[in-house]
Parts: sequence; C-alpha cells; structure tokens
Amino acid sequence: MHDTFEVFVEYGPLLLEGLYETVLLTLAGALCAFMAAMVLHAAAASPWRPLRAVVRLYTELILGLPILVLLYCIYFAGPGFGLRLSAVASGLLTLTLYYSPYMAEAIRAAVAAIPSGQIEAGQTVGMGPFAVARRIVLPQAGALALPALVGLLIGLAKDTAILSIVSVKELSYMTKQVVSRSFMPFEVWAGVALIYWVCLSTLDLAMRRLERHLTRHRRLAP
Amino acid sequence: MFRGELFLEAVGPIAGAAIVTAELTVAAGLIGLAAGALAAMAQIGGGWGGALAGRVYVSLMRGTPLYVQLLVVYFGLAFAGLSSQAFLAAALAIGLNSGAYCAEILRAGILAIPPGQIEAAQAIGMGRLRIWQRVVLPQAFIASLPPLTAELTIVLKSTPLASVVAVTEITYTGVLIQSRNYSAIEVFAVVALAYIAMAQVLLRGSRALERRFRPFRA
Amino acid sequence: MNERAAPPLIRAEGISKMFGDRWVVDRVSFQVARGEVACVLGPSGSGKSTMLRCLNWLAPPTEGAIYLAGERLGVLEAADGTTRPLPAKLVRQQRARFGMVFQQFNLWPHRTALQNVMEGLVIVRGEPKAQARDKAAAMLARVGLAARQDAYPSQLSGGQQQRVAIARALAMEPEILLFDEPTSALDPELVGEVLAVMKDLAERHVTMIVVTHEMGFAAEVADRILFMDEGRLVEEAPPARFFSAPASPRARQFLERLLGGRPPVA
Repeated sequence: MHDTFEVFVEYGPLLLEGLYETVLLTLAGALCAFMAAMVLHAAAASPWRPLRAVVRLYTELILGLPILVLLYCIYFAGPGFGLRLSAVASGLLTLTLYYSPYMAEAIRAAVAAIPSGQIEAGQTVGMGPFAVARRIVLPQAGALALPALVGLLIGLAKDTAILSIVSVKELSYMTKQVVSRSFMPFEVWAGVALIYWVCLSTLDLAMRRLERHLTRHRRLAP
Repeated sequence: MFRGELFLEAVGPIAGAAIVTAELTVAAGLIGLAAGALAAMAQIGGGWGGALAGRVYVSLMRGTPLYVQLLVVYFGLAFAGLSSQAFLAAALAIGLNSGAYCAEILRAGILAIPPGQIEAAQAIGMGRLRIWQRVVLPQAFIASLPPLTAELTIVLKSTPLASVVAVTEITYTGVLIQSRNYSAIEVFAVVALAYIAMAQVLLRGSRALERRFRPFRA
Repeated sequence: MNERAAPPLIRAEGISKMFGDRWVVDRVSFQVARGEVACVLGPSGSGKSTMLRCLNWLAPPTEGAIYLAGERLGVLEAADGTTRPLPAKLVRQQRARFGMVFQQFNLWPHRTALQNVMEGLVIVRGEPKAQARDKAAAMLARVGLAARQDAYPSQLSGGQQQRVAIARALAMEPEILLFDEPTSALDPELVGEVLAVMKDLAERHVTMIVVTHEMGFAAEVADRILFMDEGRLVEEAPPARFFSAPASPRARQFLERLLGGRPPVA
C-alpha cells in the first residue's frame, strides 16, 4: 500500500501530463464529432437522394463496427490509401467518425420531438426559416438532446483510453509507462481507474446540473 | 491496391477467430446478465446496504474506461495467482462492465411490474426469494428483452478490446496477419465485414427471440 | 341460516389499519361461519379492499386480532399473554390457507393458464409436476376453461383471465376465498361468466368474503351483508333486510344513490 502511494507520488507529474492530454482529446474529439454530426444531420435531410443514401449507409456501417476496429482501419490501413496520419490525428479522426452518427441520431430525435405546431406558430408571426431554427427549434432541441449527448460525451471520454494502443500519449499510455517502470501493474491500473472515475463522475455531475438548468422551464409547469 | 488474394487468404483464419469472438460475447453476455440481475435485486430489495453496493458498482463500471477495467481485472487475476488468464479476464471485464448497464435496464423492468403480480404470489404463500425467482425476474427479463439484446450487441462490439491482452479473437488475429504480410487494407476489410455479419446475426436472433416471447408479455 | 350456532371460521376483532396518519380501517369486528358467503359493500374508498388485505396479512393490521379456525393470525401469543410477530415463513403458511382473487386478476403474464394454476402447487406445496398438472387441469375445467389451458393471459378475455385467477386460488384448497372486487375491471358483458362461477362455488358451500359492487349478486348469493363506510363496519344484516330496510342512514343513502330506490333483482 505504501509502495503504491510512493509510485503515484513519484510518477504523479507524468500521469497528470497524460490526464491533460486526455482532457484535450475529449474536448477536441467531442467538438469535431458534434460538428460532423451537424453536417450528417443536414445531409440526412438533403433533397438529393444519393446523399441521403450515403449518410444512411455510413451510419449503418459505423453502428455495426467496433471503435477499436475503426481505429485500426485508419491507423494501419490508412497509409495504404495514402492517408498518413500521426497517432493523435488518427485518434481524433476515429473519435469523430465513430461518434458523429450517434450524435446525429440524438439531434434528429430531439428535433423530431418538437411539435410541428410550434414551427407553424413561428411562421405565423412572420419568422423566416433561420429565425425559426434559431429561436424556436434550437433552444428546445438543445435541451431535449442534451441527456443523450452527455451520455455520448462520457462514452467518448472513456474511449480516449483506447487511443493509447496506437501510442497517443494520454493517461492510459502514461500508465503503461509507469507500469513498465514500477512493476506494479495491478495497483497502478487500479489507482488510475480511480482517477478516471473521479474525473468522469465530476463531468457527469456537472452535465446533469447543466441539464437541470436548461430544462427548468419544463419543470416549472404545474 | 486492393489485392483479392490477400483478402481471401485472411477469410479462413478470421472465420476461425470469429468462434472465439462468439464465445467471448456469450460468456461476457451471461456474466453481464447475472451481475446485472444481482445488482438490480440489491438496489431494489437489498436494504440500504444493498442499494449502496449496487450504486457504487454501477457508478464504477460506468465511470471508468472498459480498457482500464480490462487491465485491472487481468492484472488483478495475476495478483491473485491466476496469471495469463486472458480469455477469463476479458470475459469478466466485459461482462462486469455490461452488468452495470443490464442492472439499469432490469431495474426499470422490475419497477414496471404491477405490484398486484407480487401480491398474487404472496397470496398463495410464496416466499421472497421464490417471488424474485418465479415472478419478478422472469417478467423483468421478458419486458427488458429489446434493450437487453441491444446491450448484447454492445458486448459484441466491446470484444475487440480483448486483443489488448492477446486473446486470439477476430481483431487480434487481424492485427497478427497484417503485421506478417503488410495487408492491412484487405485484412481489416475482412475484420470489419466479420463484425457487421455477426451484428446482423445477433439482430436477427434477437428479433426472433422477441417474437417468441411476445405472447408472454402483459 | 343460523350462523350463530356454527363456530366461526374467521373472526376479526377490532382490526384497524393506518396508512400515514389516516385510519383506513377502523375497529372492524365480524365473524364468518364455515360455508357462509359474506358480501362487503360500501362506497369506494371506504376501506373494504384494505380490510380484505388485512385478513390474509397482505396488509398486516395496525391493531386488532384475526382468528382463522381459532388460530391467531400473524402473531405468536405466549402463555404469559405477551405477543410477538410470527416468523415470515409461518405467516406465509397461514396466508396460503386463504385464496385471493384480485380486481386486476394479477395472472402472471409469462405463464400459461395451466402454469398459473400449477405454480402454487409446485412451488409452495412442493407437489410433483404431473400431479399438479392434473389438479390444475381439473380446476380449469371447473371454471369452464379446459379448452384454454395452454393460452397465455394476454390471449384470454378479461372474464376468462378472472376465471383462471379463481382456479388458481381454488387449486390451493383454501379454507376461505377472498374476492376483491372481482368484476370491477371487466367489460359489462363479461361480468356474468365470472359471477356464475362464484355462484357455483357458493352453492358448493365454499366460504367466501366478497368485496363487490354487484348488488344483484350480493342480494342473491350472500348469506350476510357487511356494509362499510369510512373505514367502519356500519351495518351487518341478511341481504333481504339490508336491501329492503337498511338500518343506518349511511346504508340508505348508499343504496339510494346506487339503485335509485329500486330493490336489486336477482
């Protein structure tokens, strides 16, 4: 027990460095995936049929594919297509490609849940399509989509650990370095699990509070 | 640049590895269902101690990466004297992780059972455990079948992580082949197709299962 | 019928049940003799169903005592007069001496009609399956459902489901049957078949306590009416007297509102 503590003191800075990288990857990955999801959402509503078909095919493909296999495809098979990416770029691309269809589905479900009468009401008072989207659809859909998006954000944060397999220097990668120097794999991994747990639980809690804040108008109703 | 002969060469070994993936999926799925049922029972009928234990379990499993869980279990087994138990570690880790989600699913299913069902069992003199076993759990299971089968698909999609501890399932086999003959594109095409095919089999199977159980539902 | 001569099968002495800070059942005492049919009437919310659940300890009474064939239920009485709760296992054994039929049938949807009836025989009584199956089939035949024994509850009409529930209760060979508004959840055209089964049981001298809103059934089949209001047992009378000349103003009011002054025709 004492030894374990010493290991964490000695390698603390290394692990912190990894944790910082994990946080950055999570933020960047979530942002890229969300933007890609918006594009997918728009494309799925496109009047041009082939585009809709491509989106559907891509979505089906991703839903059936494990994320680790997607990572390997990009990292190992990418160069064969002339796609030579660094480890970090491969990782970000994986997170983006993998999470965007799920996020697009969350957005679609939320938008679909807004009664069409509200949009008509907006049009009736003379709003244009952009005003309707910005002032009526977005505020409500945002709140509706949030629980699903938070779940995906936490899933994405957890999946950054997989990127250590292709040597992205985040928390799990640093943990492997610590294990190879300390020869205490069980204790070190268990301790790092605790670090992940504290960070992710905090993120979850913060997101739930945000969710409560954004949906307060619905709870005020009698 | 796509070499058909390398693609065909990979099909045999990966089909063989698919059996390991299937075994791992079934083993982890069963562990997850059992762990989930126990955790749901503890949360609902286990007093405050059971509720706390159930919640901590669910929170720990949902709040840490499966990759890290797998390594904790793998090295934990070694720590306990069971070294190099890669398949066991993978089945346990994936199963226990899935158990947390199964627990949430089953909990909702249990809470949806009309209290009268339990009263009827009490009225003929059934004991608590008997009621769990004969009335509550079977119904919660049947009512939760669609989300549970979806969870099994997630278990299937989690099995590639077992490659990290060198279980020779589909993904690890793919990595080994492509490192031998530099055929990443062809090999991972086979790997991806194998998973999509297995997911389809699961989907068909779960639909058939749901159809079979439909008359049993309230 | 002279029920006072026979020893009571069930005796309730001042039973009360409190939910939160409200007395839902308030000092109710009565007796029912072996072979007797007692119908419990009263406006909804008068504590009838809760009183019924007190009897078989599904809702243990807060106060009072219940005796089944002279045996105190739910409580161990020591020789020196002190009492303590009965162990759960013995409570279950006592409970199994009652049969209960619920308003919402409460059949287990994952088991066939036959399996619903067999369940208690196999699981509680530990009878061999073959024997339980024969007995269950006989019970289903008795309620006229021999042909539907392999149907799942969702494939049966409400009336059929309730008849299966009656067969399930009968299979345990209870000393007394409790009915909790057995026809209230049924479509009007399905009420008759369930009442017919219950009438048949009454004619075979099965002891029954029936909470019901079916005045015609009560008038024709009951030996005695127990009228409850606001948790109290307000009036106890043979049906002829209860329906023609109720003694309490509450009962008069209740009957007037329900029947508009006409006596129920059986």
